[in-house]
Amino acid sequence: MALLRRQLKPKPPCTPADIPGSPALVRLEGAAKQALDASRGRLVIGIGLFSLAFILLAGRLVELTVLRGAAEPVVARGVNPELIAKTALMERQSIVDRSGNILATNLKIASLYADPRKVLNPSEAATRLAQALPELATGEVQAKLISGKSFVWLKRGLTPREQYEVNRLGIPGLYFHNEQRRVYPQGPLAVHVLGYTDIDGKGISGVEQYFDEQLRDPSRTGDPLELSIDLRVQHVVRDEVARAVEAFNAIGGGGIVLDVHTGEVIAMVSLPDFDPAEPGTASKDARFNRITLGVYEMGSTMKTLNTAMALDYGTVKLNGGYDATHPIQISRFTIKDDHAKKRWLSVPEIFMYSSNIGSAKMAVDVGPERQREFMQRMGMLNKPTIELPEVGGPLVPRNWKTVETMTIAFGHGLSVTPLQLATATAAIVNGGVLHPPTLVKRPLGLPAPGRQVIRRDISDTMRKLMLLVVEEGTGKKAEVDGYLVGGKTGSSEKVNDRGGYNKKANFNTFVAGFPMHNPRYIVQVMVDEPKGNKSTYGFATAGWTAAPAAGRIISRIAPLLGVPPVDESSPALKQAMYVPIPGQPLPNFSNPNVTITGRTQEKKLASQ
Amino acid sequence: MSRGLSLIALLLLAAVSFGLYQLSYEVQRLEEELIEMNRALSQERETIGVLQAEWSYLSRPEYLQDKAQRLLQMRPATAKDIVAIEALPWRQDRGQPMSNMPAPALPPMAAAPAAAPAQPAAVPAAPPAPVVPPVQVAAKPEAAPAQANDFDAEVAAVLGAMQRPGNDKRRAP
Repeated sequence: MALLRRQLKPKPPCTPADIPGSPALVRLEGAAKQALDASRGRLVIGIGLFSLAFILLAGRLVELTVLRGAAEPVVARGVNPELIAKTALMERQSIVDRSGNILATNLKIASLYADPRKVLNPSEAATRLAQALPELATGEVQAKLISGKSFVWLKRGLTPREQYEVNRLGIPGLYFHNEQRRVYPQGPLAVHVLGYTDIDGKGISGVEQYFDEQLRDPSRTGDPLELSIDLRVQHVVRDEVARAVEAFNAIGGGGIVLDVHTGEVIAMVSLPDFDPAEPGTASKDARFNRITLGVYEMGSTMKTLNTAMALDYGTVKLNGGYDATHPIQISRFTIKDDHAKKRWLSVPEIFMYSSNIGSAKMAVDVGPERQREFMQRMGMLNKPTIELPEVGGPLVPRNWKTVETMTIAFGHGLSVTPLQLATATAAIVNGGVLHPPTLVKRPLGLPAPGRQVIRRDISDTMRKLMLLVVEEGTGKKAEVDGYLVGGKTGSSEKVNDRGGYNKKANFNTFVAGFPMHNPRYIVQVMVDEPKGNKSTYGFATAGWTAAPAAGRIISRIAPLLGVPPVDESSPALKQAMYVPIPGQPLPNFSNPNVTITGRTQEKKLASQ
Repeated sequence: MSRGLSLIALLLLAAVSFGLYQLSYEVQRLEEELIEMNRALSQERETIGVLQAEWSYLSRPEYLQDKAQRLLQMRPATAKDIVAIEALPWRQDRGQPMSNMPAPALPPMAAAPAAAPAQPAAVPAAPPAPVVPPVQVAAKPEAAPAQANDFDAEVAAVLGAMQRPGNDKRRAP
């Protein structure tokens, strides 16, 4: 500052005091004054401009520090899109089972590549790399490293451990590229439910496709999709169905476990299956979901619906019956019984011996229109609603006349998906409420959507009849110690290429409910084209193939699902589940020995 | 006067610019710290994700079943392995103090018929409707608080809690 002054002093500004009385100056006064005025004007303009600039700066400063103070946390909260892009890791949400076990998740995996120009010693690097990653061949790696290119892939998809090993080698010129990959830790276990994704992580099958948008939604990070599937039950079903398929040399099989009170699918298995990590290698047959996409004539399992229908419309009473002595001849069909008794059969007998003749007569009394209406009510004539893209529609006869009514009574002429049969059977045993099936866990405590389709007392009767099938009828092999299992077998001949029935190719179904005094779950097992073996004396019907598998499934999953066992031989329970069959003496229920166990069961039944 | 003002202005300028730089560096440091923390966080999340996937892979039922059957000679549980809690006998040392009770407060299922007539007042309408659901049986000591001691009430509460979800969970209206 001082320096500045000293420099300025020798050059004083030109003032009027320095030039008094100078004529030249006086003469020049006009011009000088003009110049001075002009320069002063310019100075003012300059000062004004600078002041304006400084005021602007000051204003900006005030705005930034004082007024925009509230905007600061934008960065700190991390809502900055750039930061989110940096920190986002799970581009696709996980899928978990009903207890939170991971079924599908996204992992960031590293792929190893090299810049060969930067690798100092290719042969040594190749040797050491091959040691760290045993599946790499030394020669091949070395050839890549001396290629002189600027980029070569060495290995795609390293595990974290492999990545660590490679990092530990400390070889210059090796780099990782991070990628997202969908991982299915359970392998093929629930593949037909889960589906799979394409290389870009887009769901192209199963719930991966159905919930694709929800799974990709970044605002749902850390909020996995909870399925209704129970991993343990799913495994048991797959294990036992696979056993049946193998034992009977079948071409495929399937299994469903359904919660009768909520419609939740606890397990859904379709065999053969495949590893969702490599959908490309799977055959078309393996990718086919037999439970929701395949439609089949379900055979005698439809008699459950037929009997419930006749009882619900009141066209026959439980103690009524039909003459099943002679086969029925109608147009080109002959309806005969597989387990022919050749006599008058009561309704319980028709059901437990699976009489086609009796069932057909029962349906004729109801009539085609009412049968159609009933099947519609049970959801058998529409595509089932389930959270999967692979859903097949039923094959409904165009002409629904008496012939069709007769054949549909025992499960021919109407092809439905196994899922529809399981859903309808659940409604028949649970008190008559049809709950739409779902693969998503329902929130606890909320009543599941559903509508009453048959009367409650008809449902009670049907449970007793289904129990009879397992205790004395065609489903004996499904009996399980400690649990009251009721069910219905169904062995239908598959339609061959010429449109006729193939006597050698059966589609076997066993649909069971348990425990029958207080139903909780439906277990349905399908075996596609089984061949009889020594243990079944050459038989390949559902009672020999699907029923034992269902029994084994129930004995394994009931303890897992927390279903309390009962003493199924207790007289009180026997009495509660008793069905009077005309012509058979009333069994003697030894009343004095009734225990509190039996009584409580009876009360339970009465309260349902 | 003018010199002093300039001096003050210069000093202020120096102070303000120092403060500004200080602030700017502080913000920069904090931002770096934030990015670093977010990075660490995402890395931790990734690690957790990997570990969860690995846990899921190693605990898959197929694998566990094989190990349990081959190495531990285990078999699936059956109905015979399950006993209702009411069927368990009372522990002798805990059972003794209940001498003022006419019968076990929480009758085991089999003993119930004997116990019911012994408490005529406490059990509502025992003979015509001897069909008391287990939940109510378990809650009996609460209905007769004069007789029940703390232990019984505690057990009853536990039993009640254990039975209720099993029986009533799915009975949605």
